[in-house]
Amino acid sequence: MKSDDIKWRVIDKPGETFKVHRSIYTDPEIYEAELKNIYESNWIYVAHDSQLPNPNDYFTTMVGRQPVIISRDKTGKLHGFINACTHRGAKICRKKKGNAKNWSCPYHGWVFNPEGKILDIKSLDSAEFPDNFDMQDYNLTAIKVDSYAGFIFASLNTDVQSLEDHLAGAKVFMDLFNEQSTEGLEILPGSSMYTHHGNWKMQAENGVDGYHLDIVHASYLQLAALRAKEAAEAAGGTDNVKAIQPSNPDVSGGNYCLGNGHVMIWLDIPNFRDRGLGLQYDDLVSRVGEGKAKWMAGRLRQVMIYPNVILFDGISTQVRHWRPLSHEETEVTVNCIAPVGEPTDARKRRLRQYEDFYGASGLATPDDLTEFDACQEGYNGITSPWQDFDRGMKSHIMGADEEAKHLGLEPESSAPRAADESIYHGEYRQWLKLLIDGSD
Amino acid sequence: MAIDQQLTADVADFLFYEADVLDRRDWDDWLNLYEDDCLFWVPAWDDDTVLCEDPDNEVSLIYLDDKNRLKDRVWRVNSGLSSSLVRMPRMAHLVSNVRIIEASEGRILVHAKFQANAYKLDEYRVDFFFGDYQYELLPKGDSFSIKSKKVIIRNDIIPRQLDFFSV
Repeated sequence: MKSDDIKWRVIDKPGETFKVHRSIYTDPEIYEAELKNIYESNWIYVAHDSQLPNPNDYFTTMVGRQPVIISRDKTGKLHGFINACTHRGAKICRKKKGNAKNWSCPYHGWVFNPEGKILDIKSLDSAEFPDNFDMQDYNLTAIKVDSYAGFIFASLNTDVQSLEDHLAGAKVFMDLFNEQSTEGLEILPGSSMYTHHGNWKMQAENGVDGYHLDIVHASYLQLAALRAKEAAEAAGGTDNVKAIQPSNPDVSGGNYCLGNGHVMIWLDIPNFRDRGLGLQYDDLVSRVGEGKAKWMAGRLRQVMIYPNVILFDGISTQVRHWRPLSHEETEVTVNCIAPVGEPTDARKRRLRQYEDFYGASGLATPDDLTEFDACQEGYNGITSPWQDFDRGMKSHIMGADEEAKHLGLEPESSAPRAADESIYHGEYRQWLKLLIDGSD
Repeated sequence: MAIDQQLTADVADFLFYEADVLDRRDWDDWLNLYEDDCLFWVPAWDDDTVLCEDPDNEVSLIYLDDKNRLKDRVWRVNSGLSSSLVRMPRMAHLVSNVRIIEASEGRILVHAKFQANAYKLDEYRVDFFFGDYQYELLPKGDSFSIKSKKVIIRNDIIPRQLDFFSV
């Protein structure tokens, strides 16, 4: 696409208005440009360290449209490859995850090791290859892989900036997440995948949308309150979930644009002592101090690392990542993540809160997915083509607010309410930049 | 173990009845089939062949270990506050391969297979989940009540929603 075909779709007038044209969710040409210039040119979240903990472990997934293998070699170093044999292109690793000292392609038997090096070509002696044939030209095609605080990212772009530079302000919140335990975090067994009608960018918007909470999740919030009330009255009521009920995002919390499209919202949790980490709050305070403990256990944080993952730490703890299947279909993978070595009662509480709210089998996510479908349908009403992200613009400030300064965070911008939609300026400025940079 | 034909027939009829009340959305009748300290459990899969069998350390898709949690789900359907539940799918549950695994005076363990078909009016699509039911039933009068129901879903990529009525 030419840059002139792209840039009119975002109107960015600081202090005045910020609008996007709804064709960004429906235009197949825009979608192609996003795959090429966002998903296949940037760092994409692929896995957590705990999903391939041992030497020779591997994990298979997708980056944009392309199948990849993430592997750990015998020294523990991470590698990544296109999951296609350099001979005839068959996928080499067929399972979701495994452990192997070498990988033999199931089609013609070429053999590679977890560093991507080719070890054997079947019947090489009788191959009659031309004289210029060099076996070392057939090592697996490497991609960039790096990790931060246990979260592993991959990029198909060999010239991509360093992962730390890419993560920018998000690193502060990744550290806060990871330091909940001195031993780090682990993905708990039990993955879930769901699909929905609706452009992938609605995933990136919704997970940091404080404004929809009491409308879309009215049934959840009312039920959580009713449950707690009936259990307190003890007239046959029980409450083993103790659902987390954050403060009102219309008047409290805040949001930050963290750079490179990454954004986050935060909210205080009045009943934070009902959380898995809240059950250990006093120990946490003595380990990390009151200020940090408040952020870790007492504040909901939902951190969107552009373009494909959100780290949720509030209602429970979830890593949610997605990949677009088309301009109007999205596939989402969700995992519960927890501090390593967590006490049994805290682990159980975390799981019950997770299952109660999250996932397509929970009491909240299906309502979000229904709204994405409704938006995608509504966007077809292109006679009404523009939407603004102006809510909160008056109180949105560039740079750090007081809370950010306490944290040592240097955000691009700060806002005083979790329901402010100025958070999307960070996402869509990055969206526009990446598409313009990659345009013809 | 000799197959008790009469017991198998009675149990199958009870399972068919539960399928029917779900399809007819007779939620009160459905709740009446469960014991107060019941378990309704849909475990998640960890990998192609590995099912999560330890709900206190591993993720479940649904884990309701108290009848009040089943009532929560029914409350949400009736509340009118959940947009995913406004246009409910038309469902048809098929139940088959009903086998008594163990029967004693106090309890009966039953395995069965199911396919739950959903016609989703707002999405213009048909979906279905299929898999296994594993029940622990208690004799109750001339019928049974459900102490636990474990649902193993074999096709676990979920199109938008999976709830108690979907399986």
